[in-house]
Amino acid sequence: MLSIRQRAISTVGVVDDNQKARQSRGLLLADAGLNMFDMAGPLVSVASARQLLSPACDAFICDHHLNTNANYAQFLGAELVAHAVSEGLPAILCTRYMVAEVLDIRRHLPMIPVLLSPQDLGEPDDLRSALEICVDEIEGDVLPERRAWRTQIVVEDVADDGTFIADFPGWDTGQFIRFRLADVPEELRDSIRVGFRTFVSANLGEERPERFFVVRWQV
Amino acid sequence: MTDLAILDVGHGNCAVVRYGERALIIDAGPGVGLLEYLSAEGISQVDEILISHADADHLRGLQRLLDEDRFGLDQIRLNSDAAQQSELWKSLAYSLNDRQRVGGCRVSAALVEGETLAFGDECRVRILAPTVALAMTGPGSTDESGRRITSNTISAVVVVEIHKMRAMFSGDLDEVGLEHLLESGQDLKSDLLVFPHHGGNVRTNATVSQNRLFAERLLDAVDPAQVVFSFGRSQTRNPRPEIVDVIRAKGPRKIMCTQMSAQCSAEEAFDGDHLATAFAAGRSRKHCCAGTIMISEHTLQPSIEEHTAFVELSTATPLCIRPSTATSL
Repeated sequence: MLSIRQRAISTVGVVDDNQKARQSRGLLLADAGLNMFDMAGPLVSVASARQLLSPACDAFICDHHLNTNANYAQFLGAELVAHAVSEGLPAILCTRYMVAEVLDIRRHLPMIPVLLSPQDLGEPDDLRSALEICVDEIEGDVLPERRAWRTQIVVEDVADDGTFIADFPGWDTGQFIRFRLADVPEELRDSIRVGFRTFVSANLGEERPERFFVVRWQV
Repeated sequence: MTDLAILDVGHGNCAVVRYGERALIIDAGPGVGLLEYLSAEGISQVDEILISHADADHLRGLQRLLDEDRFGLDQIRLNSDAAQQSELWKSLAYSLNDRQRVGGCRVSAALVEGETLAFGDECRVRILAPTVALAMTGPGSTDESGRRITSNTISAVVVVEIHKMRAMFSGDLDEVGLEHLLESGQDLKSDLLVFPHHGGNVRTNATVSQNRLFAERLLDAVDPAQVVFSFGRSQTRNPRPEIVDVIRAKGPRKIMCTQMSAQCSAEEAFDGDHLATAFAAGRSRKHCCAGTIMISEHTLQPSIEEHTAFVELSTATPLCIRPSTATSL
């Protein structure tokens, strides 16, 4: 059992549409001295999955793609993790995501304290560290790279596929970030064109583009 | 309460003079270190921000400070520099305009020799360089002796007098700027010097002997008891060994680097029990050497003893305390 900020974690759920992957996670949990709650599908909604998880486990690990095999779930892992964390249940998103998936994940990142690749979650210490970060953030102790600061955003290009890329003059990496128009408040969507500037809050302390997120668009 | 923090912001410069909940800032380097520091220390009002020159590792934090409207910002002082990127100025202009919503922010496009800012009885901030003539001539031109003026030449040199000590912040002063500073005849003696260029080359492709000569002239004029190099560990060549050698050859002086130089240790993580509690960019990755340096009325954090003990314990080849090679060069 783990004790983090007086929160006892003895059972950890595993949400993955691949049964072998769930079994593999079970070995990690056993190494860490924790019980596993094997989350079998089908899962029809985020809310119902959350209700299944909450009494059964103290935290959970979740893959992002949940319907590559059969019909395991009707939603993405990022949605479930963000929902659970927003309700105070620690959750780790662990996935081999590609560039295309970053767009799906980014909109949920403000409520995903820990995003890991499978190789970064191979040891019990990795798990403990990830859960500590998650619990700390739920308790209001946010890592500098996750803290959102008000900052300027500049639209650099608008694509035909409903996405656009933007620059952040206050973000040192100099990298552009792609967003979906659908993720922008409705009142702003008509304004999104090259050269448009406004303010958002973003985690400027993060150096990795795939973990960079935006909240609170200034309308 | 008045104190001075030389922040570990990674590769760049940033220092904060704090008096209660108000502050004066000298340079605004990379990352969110400045915002983190202000927030953690409960500082809500920045009276002045002085930008030594328009290089990103001194300027970019200004954009973040302007944008984050939870901090009041009364006045920006800097020297205009047409040689720098127009996109950056465009973004700053947009943010300055936005500042009108929260009371506005004055901008003075001159940070030149002769100005003195006073904060109570405990703190004076004096601007020693550039001269008005140099600032007005501007980068891209030449001075009266035909020497090329760059952004670094017009780097502001700022002295903070606090708790009976003088700390000099020299931006990225170059050889021509130093020449003008020496010619000004001002008293440059200071107890602490934040060394220009983060301890790197005095200019692009400078030779070892050029770096040595620059360091010797600056050290002779300032004669500091303590020298600080502010850089990020990713800059593997900082500080230049020949510069450290010059400092050490000129007598016992304490040298502190905000982050651990790759030349001092190839290890990737260092315990930080000696560090001040204030925000340091290198803390989470355990990259700090001295980290953020705090100077208050009765204390220096980390203390010289704590820092020396840390260096002796943590580094295989410490530049700051190894035998000097200056005489053999």
